[in-house]
Amino acid sequence: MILGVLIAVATFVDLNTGLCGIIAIGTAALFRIITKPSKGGYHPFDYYNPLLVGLSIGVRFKLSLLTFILILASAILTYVLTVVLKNLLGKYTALPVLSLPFVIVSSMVYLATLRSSNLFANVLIYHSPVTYFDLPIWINGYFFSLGAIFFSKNIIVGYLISGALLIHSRIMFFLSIAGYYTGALVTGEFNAAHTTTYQDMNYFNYILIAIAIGSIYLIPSIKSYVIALFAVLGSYVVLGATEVLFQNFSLPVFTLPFNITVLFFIYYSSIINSRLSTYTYLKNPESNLDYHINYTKRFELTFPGIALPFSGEWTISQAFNGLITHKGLWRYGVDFVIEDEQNQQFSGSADVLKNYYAFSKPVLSPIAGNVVEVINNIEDNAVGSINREDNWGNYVLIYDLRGFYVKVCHLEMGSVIPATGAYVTVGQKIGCCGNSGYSPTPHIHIQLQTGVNNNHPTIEFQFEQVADNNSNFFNRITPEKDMVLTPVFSSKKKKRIFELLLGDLMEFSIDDGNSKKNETIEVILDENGASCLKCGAALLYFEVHKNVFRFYKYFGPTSSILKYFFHAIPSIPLCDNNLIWTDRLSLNISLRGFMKNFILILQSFYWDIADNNVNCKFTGNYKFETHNITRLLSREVGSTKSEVKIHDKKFIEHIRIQKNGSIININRIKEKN
Amino acid sequence: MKRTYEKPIFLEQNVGFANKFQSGYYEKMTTKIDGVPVKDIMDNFGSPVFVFSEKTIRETIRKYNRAFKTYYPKIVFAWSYKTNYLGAICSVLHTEGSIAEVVSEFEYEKARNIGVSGDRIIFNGPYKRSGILKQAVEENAIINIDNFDEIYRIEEIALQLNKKIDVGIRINMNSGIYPQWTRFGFNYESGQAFSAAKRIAKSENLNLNGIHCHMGTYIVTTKAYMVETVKLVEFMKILEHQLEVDIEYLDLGGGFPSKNRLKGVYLPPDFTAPTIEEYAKAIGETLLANVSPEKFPTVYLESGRSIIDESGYLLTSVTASKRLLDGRKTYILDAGVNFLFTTTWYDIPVKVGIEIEGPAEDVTLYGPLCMNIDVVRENVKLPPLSPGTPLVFNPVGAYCVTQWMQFIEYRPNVVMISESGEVEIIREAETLEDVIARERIPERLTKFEL
Ligand SMILES: Cc1ncc(COP(=O)(O)O)c(C=O)c1O
Repeated sequence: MILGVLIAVATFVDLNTGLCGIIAIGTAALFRIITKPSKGGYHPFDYYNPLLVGLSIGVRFKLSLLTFILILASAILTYVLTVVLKNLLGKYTALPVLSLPFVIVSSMVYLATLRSSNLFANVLIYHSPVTYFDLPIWINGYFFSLGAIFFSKNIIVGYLISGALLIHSRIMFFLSIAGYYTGALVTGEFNAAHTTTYQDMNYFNYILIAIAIGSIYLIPSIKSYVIALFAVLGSYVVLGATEVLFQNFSLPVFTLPFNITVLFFIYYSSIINSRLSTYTYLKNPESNLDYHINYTKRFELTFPGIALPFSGEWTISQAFNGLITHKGLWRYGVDFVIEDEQNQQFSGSADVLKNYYAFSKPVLSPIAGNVVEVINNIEDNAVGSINREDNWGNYVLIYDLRGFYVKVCHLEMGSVIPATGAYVTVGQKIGCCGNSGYSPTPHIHIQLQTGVNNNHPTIEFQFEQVADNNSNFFNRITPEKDMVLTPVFSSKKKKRIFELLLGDLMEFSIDDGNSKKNETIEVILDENGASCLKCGAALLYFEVHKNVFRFYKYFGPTSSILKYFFHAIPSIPLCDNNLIWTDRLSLNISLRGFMKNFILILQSFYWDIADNNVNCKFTGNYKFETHNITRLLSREVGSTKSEVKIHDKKFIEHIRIQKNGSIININRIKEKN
Repeated sequence: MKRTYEKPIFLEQNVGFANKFQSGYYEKMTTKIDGVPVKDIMDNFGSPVFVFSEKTIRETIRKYNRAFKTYYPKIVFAWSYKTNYLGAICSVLHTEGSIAEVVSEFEYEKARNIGVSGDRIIFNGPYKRSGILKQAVEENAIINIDNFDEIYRIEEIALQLNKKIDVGIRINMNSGIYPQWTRFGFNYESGQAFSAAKRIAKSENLNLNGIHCHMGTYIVTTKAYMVETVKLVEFMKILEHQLEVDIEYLDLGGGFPSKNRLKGVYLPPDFTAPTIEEYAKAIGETLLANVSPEKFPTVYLESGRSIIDESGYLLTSVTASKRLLDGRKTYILDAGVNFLFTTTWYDIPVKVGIEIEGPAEDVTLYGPLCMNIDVVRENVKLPPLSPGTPLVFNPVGAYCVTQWMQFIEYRPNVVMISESGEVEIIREAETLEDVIARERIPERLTKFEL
């Protein structure tokens, strides 16, 4: 927003240029309307290339009928080129068109008009640079270059753009400086002419490259900064070469060096390390980083997740790389037993199989998939003895569509239920725990493997939707020896309560102590079909992932009832058990202003310099508390406590948020029947 | 030790018995409870006195949870208040995750008073007073409807509150046990239960989301629970298909036996009753085999006596002995059927609280009530007991401290032994003030001369 306004102002410092730009946009928009049969979407980014072309004509020619026709012709050409290039690039790569159409069309316009003597009657007099303060040339050079992005030679425009950058994004601002001086110093050194260097307006290419690579197309990070600066270095060659080449035709290089360099470097980055790239551009690079860190830490899947293969509380007696049998190819296996309070696996005599709590207990399918192989006729060993021949004993091997096999072993003879080929779902009983195979006492062994055979290596995995014996809930957990885990099954009632359907309306009153107002929230689908809550201009995205309801994205004003929802309720396990769980939020939800932006700049260098966790705890079946603590270098810089009451029919009844000494109360307004 | 004089008597020789168990009464001694001497408890808290072992309660409920949850994941125990609603006892069970099951206004209020929120209370019973029913509805309690008139009353309340209420229904069925309780809930086989469900499903203000069945008590066959579970699941599927309701819970009631000895059963319960693992297996495997995982309902278990009975002891003293005309020896204790209501069904095992020597003899134990029915044990083998000898009745944790009566005597102290061995009072002995606190004597009757 602010950026747009400032750019408009900057442009209008020169009226002729500005008018030409507007004519170009208008033409392109009109052309689109004429050629498109029905009302279509609005793509503001399709118009900046025509705008730039308009501006480039405006700086050269005074507005006249001829100029007008020239703008018309080139704006349409640019627009067509933009749409075509966008389509082509989109089809074969994920690359943006940048300002390529502008460079191509403007170069052609300049070349073509060299012969149009009629136009040259309207040629503008050459503007000489306008400065106001007597600053050293190497400082003025930076501002002139910024201004040159919009064809202005007035340093004021440079000041304004620089200010706009600073307000919009500190990261962009710093990159503009770093990019400019890296490029300028290197070029100056090569050309042995530092003074003229700072007068070369084409250096805005360095600025654009640094910003685009360092913060827009890549997520801000040490890596993106380093790539950006190396790109600036590399672009010296491109800039030099194009300048020399274009001079032959009295052409400026426009943004050609920027386009070439950026396209190559971001394409390279996406091939080498896809995690560097920005997938959805939010408000500014800081927001991108914030969202990216949070999304990665919250949801990124490292290993395949499967459910626990049983019901109730079992103890891990051997985990990955276990000392006894989980070695080599078979290092990613997990063994489970049942223990009582005295950590005993049996009651009564230790020599009797039946006395083991685990023996004959149901074994449940950890995944949904087709059964590939079943063994069901191996005798259960007496306590203490093992069967080395059929070391897996009775087992079920199931294929998961994600591309791996799950093997559940040592089952009780004759207990296996599904036949080869059967489809089983998560939680379905597949047999009973036994003592067959290489098993001295009853236990369940589970592993993931890449193929059906014994010599296919096992792969690392995690368990999903589990609780430990201290009531901590984990969406995913890496198994470790001695963990006591229980699978968490959903509560049908809570699933019903959090089943928000398209068109559902809910009314809330929000009272922050100073004022009280009512807000209506609607459940809608966005253009991609994702579910979200909508309140005014704010959107809050939600999903039910397995047994967890969670919010994951917020768009909208800095203050909205939906933002409070996100803050108080990052996620809720939909189960009967009174669990404790943790989650995390993006800083955008917890903090505002300086502190948030400051932390984000630091986080672009080192993510873990700050964290923003939320500790949550059920205090009743329909009540929970959440506590969000923001820490910078382990020091608390923000804290918000919330109490939430779940509505008995749908969603939330009440939230009380305590933040910076103030209290916000959100209450459901009862709908009339 | 100084030996006390005991008058010589003639004893009939019971050869087989004597041979097998020697003199029999060594087994019949309980001198300590959780390591605390019986004598000390009585010295400090009087006689008689009820004693509860927190350790036993916790071990039992944990064992039950482990057994059931390893067979079926969505098990929730609901503490049957009527079995024992002493605040401390309920609280121990609530800290172990059990929710509350109540059947009256008083029990509902008691649960709320202990700190259980309405949505964690199952409200059962054939008559729920309108006032408390309304409160339960407002507090989102889990309500199981018993009869058609209750459907109408609850619908009325829903209308008043302008609310759509989740409700369950109680059903009764033939699960192969005798007697079949048919007076509670709607009968399954006759189609009455389906009619009730249909009536509820048609209601604008009611939403049927649960089915409850409590078959009876002291059920010593796991088969009955299998049949019950099969029928409940079958009913759930019928309702979901035909009435498009979503059944969120099945409540299987209670009824597992305790280790008490039913009158007229010769073998002790360890031989006659299945273990809790066997009940868990019967119920859990039936559920797993008949319901697909996405549809797993929450399963409530309202087990009462089986969980609490063993943890409760009554310590009482011999006050006198008397030989009846037929030569039978009898003792008069300071606690009778007023505190041991369950003697109606059980021969509650009794043991001597201190070490005593002497040959065991068949005796009868009477309570202190001046009533002919006050017989605590008709026939039990005990060594000679002198006045003041402590006797230990166990198990008495279930129903005794709820069905006891204030008749003639003040009700005694109830203490609990904590896991660390401290003995704490959880209900003080009554005094005259307690008993007369609610009495009003009209002014005109306050003066009299005799
Ligand atoms: C509805 C209900 N649930 C549970 C119980 C507890 O039964 P038990 O002590 O036999 O387990 C009773 C006892 O009468 C009951 O009526």
